[in-house]
Amino acid sequence: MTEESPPTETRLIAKIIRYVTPAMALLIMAFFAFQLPRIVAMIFLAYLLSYVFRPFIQLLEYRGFTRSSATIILFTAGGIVAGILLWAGIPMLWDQGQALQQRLAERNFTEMVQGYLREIENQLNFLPRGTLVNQVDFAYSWILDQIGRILGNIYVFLEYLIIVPFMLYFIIRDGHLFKRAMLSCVPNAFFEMSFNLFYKIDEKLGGYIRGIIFESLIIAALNIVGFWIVDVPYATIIGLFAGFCNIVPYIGPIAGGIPALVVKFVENQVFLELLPVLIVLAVVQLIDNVWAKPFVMSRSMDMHPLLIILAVVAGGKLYGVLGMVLSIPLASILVVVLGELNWAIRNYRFQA
Amino acid sequence: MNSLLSPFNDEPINSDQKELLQSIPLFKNLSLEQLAEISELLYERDYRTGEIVHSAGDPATALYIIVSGEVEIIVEDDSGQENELACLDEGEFFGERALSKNLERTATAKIHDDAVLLVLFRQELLELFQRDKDLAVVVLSNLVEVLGDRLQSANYTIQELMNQQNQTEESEGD
Repeated sequence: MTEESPPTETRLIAKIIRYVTPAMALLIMAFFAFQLPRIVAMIFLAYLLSYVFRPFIQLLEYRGFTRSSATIILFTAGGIVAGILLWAGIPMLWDQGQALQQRLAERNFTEMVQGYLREIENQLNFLPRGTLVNQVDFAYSWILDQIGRILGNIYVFLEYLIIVPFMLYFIIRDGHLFKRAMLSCVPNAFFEMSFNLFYKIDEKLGGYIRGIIFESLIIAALNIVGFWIVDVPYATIIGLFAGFCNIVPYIGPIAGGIPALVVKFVENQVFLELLPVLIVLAVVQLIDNVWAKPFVMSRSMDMHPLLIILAVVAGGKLYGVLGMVLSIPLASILVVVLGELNWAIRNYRFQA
Repeated sequence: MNSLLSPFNDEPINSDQKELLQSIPLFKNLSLEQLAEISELLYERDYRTGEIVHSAGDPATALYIIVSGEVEIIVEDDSGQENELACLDEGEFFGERALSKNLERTATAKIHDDAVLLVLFRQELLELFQRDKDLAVVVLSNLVEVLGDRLQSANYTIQELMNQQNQTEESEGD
């Protein structure tokens, strides 16, 4: 025997409150997100990094550890490893980074490059005078600025170094609860579809993040070894930079190779000396395309190359280097959401 | 293993949750830890009378377990008329086609009386099966037992209908 149903007006009000409340909460969160982009970037970065740690957490959970204890164990182990790497690596990287910045900023290098560019402009009569020089000057200033921002703005760097791991800990430990909380706000008619959406995003994003980090580490290691063999100065930091650049599709591998060529040329100013560096870059790209990239692409999000480039450019415009790195996962989430919504509209028969 | 990990392990689920899950035929004979693993995957949802849980033709991605209330399983005939195949109540489940991949719902599930359902998604259940094979064996055995009972019940119904049809034909022949 059932209780008497509440009046229609009451049910309507309850329905409105049920749908409007989560929508308003989302709007408020979006408003604050626009006001505090750095916080949002940190949260998103921590969320992406959590995908790297999830397999290890799951491994510990299979062994009988609770999620809390598994997270503590993983963070303790990760903290020890990170501490050793930072203690050993930071001074070396700092010195190399400072020396590299100073070397690139030397006047004779700038004037030398401008001289070569003017010679090229003289050959290309159709180009207005100063075009190449201005464009390269702009790019060169931007690179110096980015290096300076990373190395010089200690406050921002420390902020990321402290806050992101803190967020990462709670996302790993309680991320599944956030997901359940969000799903609990979804009306019944859209519940299955919403779960499938979250699951697909998790699956695609997780596979991509783990794959791209694996690929970047491989590229960094290969570049460091290769640059060391062909005697490129500051091989470690340049190799790491090339590995990091690899995270950005299409543009990254090219951008990652430029510093090695520039630094090698600055040392000897002989074009022939660049040949071994080019060979190293070509061999690393070959290994990447034949072996590492297929590993990533099997977990990729099937985005059109044009869309990838648009996302990278937009990300760079909005938020610099970090924007370029985060643009692909963000764009991928959007592609998955739109794809799933489209599929759901075609396949589900939504009824109240 | 449990004694070694006891400094880290909390009580997996409380007694109310344990009693509820053990009363569901799908989860009988599972240990406390296994019930805790299952409970982490379940989503509790409230449904009103008349609400559609899923429609025929929808992709099957989740299994539903009735905690309270009643659910009608309905199919439409060629003329569009709804025919009730079954009315399920507390402890019963439906939507088991979700455990197979890429299948569609063959019937519509409609709430007959305000209900509380537990939702179990295929992807998460299969992941759990992969990491706990013992649990998989128990749950799948229970599933086979319930489906076997349903098939037997369906066979009896078909036999009765055939008997009725034969009697009707005989009386018309007379």
